[in-house]
Amino acid sequence: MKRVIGPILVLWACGSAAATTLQQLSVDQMTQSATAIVRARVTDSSASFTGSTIYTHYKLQVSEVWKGAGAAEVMLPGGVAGGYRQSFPGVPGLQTGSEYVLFLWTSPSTGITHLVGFSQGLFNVVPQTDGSVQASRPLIGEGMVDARGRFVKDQPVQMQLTNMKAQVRTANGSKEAAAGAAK
Amino acid sequence: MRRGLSRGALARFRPAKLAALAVALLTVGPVPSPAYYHFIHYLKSGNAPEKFDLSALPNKTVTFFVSESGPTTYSQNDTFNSVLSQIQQATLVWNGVASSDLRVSFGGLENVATPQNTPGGDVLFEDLPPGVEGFGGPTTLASPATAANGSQFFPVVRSVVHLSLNLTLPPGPSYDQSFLMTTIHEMGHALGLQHTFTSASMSQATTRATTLSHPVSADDAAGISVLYPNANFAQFGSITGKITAGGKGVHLASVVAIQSGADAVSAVTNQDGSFRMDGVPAGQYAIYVHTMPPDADVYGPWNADGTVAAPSGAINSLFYPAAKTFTQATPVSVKAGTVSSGINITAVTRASVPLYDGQVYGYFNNYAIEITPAFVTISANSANAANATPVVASLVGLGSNEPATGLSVEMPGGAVSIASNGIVPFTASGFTYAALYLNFAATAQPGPQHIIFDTPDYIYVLPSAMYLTQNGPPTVTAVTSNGDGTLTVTGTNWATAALLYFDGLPATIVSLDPIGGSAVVVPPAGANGQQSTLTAYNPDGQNSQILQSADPASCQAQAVPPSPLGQSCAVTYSYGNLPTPAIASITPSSLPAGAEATIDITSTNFSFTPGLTTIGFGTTDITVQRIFVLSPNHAQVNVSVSATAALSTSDVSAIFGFQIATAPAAFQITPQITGFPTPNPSLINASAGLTGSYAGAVVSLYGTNLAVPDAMPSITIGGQAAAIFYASPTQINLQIPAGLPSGPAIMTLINGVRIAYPITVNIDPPPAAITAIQDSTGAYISGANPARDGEVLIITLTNFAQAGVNINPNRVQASVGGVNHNASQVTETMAGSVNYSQVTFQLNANDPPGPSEPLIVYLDGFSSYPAWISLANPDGTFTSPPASTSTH
Repeated sequence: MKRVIGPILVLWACGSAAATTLQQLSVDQMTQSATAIVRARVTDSSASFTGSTIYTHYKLQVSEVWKGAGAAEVMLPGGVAGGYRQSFPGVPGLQTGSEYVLFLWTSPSTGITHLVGFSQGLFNVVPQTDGSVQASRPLIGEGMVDARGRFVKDQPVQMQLTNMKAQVRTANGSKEAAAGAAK
Repeated sequence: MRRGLSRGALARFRPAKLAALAVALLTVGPVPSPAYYHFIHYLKSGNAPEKFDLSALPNKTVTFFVSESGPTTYSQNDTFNSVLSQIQQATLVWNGVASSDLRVSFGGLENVATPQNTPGGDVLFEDLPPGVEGFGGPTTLASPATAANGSQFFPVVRSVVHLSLNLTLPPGPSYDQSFLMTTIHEMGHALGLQHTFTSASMSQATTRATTLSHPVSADDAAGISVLYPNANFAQFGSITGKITAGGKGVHLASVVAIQSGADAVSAVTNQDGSFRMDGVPAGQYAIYVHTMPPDADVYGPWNADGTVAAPSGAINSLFYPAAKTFTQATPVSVKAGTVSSGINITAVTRASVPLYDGQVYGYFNNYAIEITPAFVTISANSANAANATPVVASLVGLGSNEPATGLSVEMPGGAVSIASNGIVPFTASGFTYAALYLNFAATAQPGPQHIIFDTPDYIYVLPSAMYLTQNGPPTVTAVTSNGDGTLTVTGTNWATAALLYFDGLPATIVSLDPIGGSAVVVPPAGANGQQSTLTAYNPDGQNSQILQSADPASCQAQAVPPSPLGQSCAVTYSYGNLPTPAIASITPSSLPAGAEATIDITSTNFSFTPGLTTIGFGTTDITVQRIFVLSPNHAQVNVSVSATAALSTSDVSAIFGFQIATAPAAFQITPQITGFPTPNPSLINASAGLTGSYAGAVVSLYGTNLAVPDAMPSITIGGQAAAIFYASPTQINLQIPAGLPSGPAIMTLINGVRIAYPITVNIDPPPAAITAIQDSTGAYISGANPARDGEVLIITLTNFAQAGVNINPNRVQASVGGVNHNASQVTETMAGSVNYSQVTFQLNANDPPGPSEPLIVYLDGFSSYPAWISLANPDGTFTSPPASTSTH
């Protein structure tokens, strides 16, 4: 969600503005760009080199598939492998045993399944005392821009899992409907 | 509402307060412990950072290569050539940190599949997932190594900056300043730095306040210098102390030192709450502690077992010793080479950090253009509240649709204050912001302005929240060709030291008239069809893209410029149709591991220029030692191939300006040859006190296998045989043939058995010659009229300096019998066609008496030919007094 500064103000990417490494994506945007969206528990992790980059492979036990065909694992850059360590500030880590909603994107060129927008595409699944289940992610600190290149601040996301699921289906359905209409 | 400050920083830093400080000043140790937030591992032996091992780097230099498969999608007018120029600029920025021993260079293009064993860095363009524009960091050994001083560290073996293939999204396009700042930031990670919270280059994008004109803050310089300190780091001071809360040390708290009108410097606390802040410029500081924001995005630190050492919980922010405001803080004095210790702060734990990620926006064109950090022009009329200058503060934690009750603002230094009723919270789209109306003191000066946001519950400090300026942003209004290779660029609001950039490279300024807004420049060498965006950068941090769109193509596509957002179009320059440059030949095209050699490069359609040309060999295993440009399409490159190089076939690339050519898989590293002669491509003057390798000089050549038993080596330089006076396997003393012209010359060596690869050596111009030595009366010094202690001498030289060039005496020293003296005066006189320089200095009691002592004059370290001077004792004798004996 983008913060708009004020009635007299218009955000614009000027030459002196600071830089970024992430593009801010809404849940709808992540839904549309993801190749798969799953609710899953991390069962194991291991790291290995892919090219010159160490990726940590997180094995997923998928309980729900909201979009696509599901995924057996997600790979995040960084980790320890072959006597080497790679550290990338801003890349999240997943905890074995924890449950998440993951917005996934598989590169058509490399076949690697990534998280959409790194931390943006990762939601903790947290059961509440009233029996409901929340999906949430904390605020992300790495620089963010919107689609027009304007620097924006992130906001933490917290919503009922059922609402997120409905939102994903709506966003995905509208995309599929648009694709169908285009045909 | 808090009134603006009426007292300046000097008033607050009263001597009485200083006297009350229990600040011990200690000598800085030779090996600073980690201070800035690096990639830290907590080992039993102490904190071990991840960093490059300087002893494993050729010339202590980490070289970054860029993947030859660059971005696939560009904004209009953007090019790979411009991308490369910005990456090269980023390496120059980190290379320019004077207190760091780590050098950083740009190596050109590489094929990422090329195996490489020497540590280095890579910039890769990749198919990143949606929403990810780039990331960077070091690859280290998983086990620590031990440095020569006994400290432990995790050696970085490779560092990678990953950027998106799609540069239509930020940080692209590459001609935007944000691309450079992002590259500098990610490169900083790759060199071993993590995030800091001082609005530095290594701060997150939200609060970063660095610009092309000030790309590295004092905090960035401290961070890199703590990892790789050199002798210059001793000019800074240090601050140590401990942060506690609830009787326990606070882990991973950020401690920051600020003073008015200058960069902040910071450190992070260890597990026991202790901290050590190094790299602090001398001065008086207010020290504060704050908890890292929840979105700090820091990595580690790690315990010895590899688990992450968690930070302590949140604490309230406080100034030393226990103040809520800058004004009430007790100043801490920092002196060069000393440690100000005992800076302990006792904080209070709290549930969370309520305020963070502050930004201050400034405005131009009737609020149509917004910029952060704010650039605020100092206004002479601001004493009138009605004329107060507005900026807007945005912070996470001000709430949504809330009045920001109790918010006050403090601006250290007294240059700026808040106008009466000048804090105006407002809401927009459900978020709360605070408009701040500023008044300026008559003494207000340009520079960074920190802001302290104070709520009843918490204080938040934003270093360099905005920049005060004398004038508004510069503009570029037109560029026209003069038909002689130069261009005339016009614009407004240029400073005397303004820079004019064509995409990512600065133009060479022939002349610049800041008042008239006109400059004659030589543009960087362009590429075929290149349409460059022109940007003017002023030293105050402002640039023309603030008022002129960074996207000239889309701006010009609009029906009626200026754009609806108030920005006019940027000016572009078309290079037109130019021939495509290419590499024509590479000789030799292979070398064994461990070799030293010159590689001869010829090309077509380049315009190589000395000092501005990059030639790379696509692997960190080949170090380019020096490039000799012989003509616009001919260069000789001295290279060293690592003895432990990976056997590979790599790309060769040549880059000049925006001209780029690559010869794929054009160079090969072959297995090392045992016993092969490898001379180092430097000739060191062998005569005491003399420097330079000029025709006729006796010099030493070092290397390995330079000579073999029972055989005489032979050497030619520029085709002429050199006389050899001494030879061993590691050293040869020789005389450079007299009459050789100055400039590059090929040197060949036969060690008696094998022929070394030719290397290029530089023959220096003939040194200056001393033609006369006179005392202050004009009398010539001689055996009959010897000089004496305390006497002022005037040395006349030829070939010392160019005619008409004034030489600063600081650049000149005179040595008498090995004792150096600083020159007090240097004058130039023309007699006919000969320029005579006269250097004045005073003898002192340290000068050794003797009838014939060597006298040498140095300019920037380059020696003259020696002369001999008679230097007598006061009694006229030439005998040195007997050495005194001591009985300690």
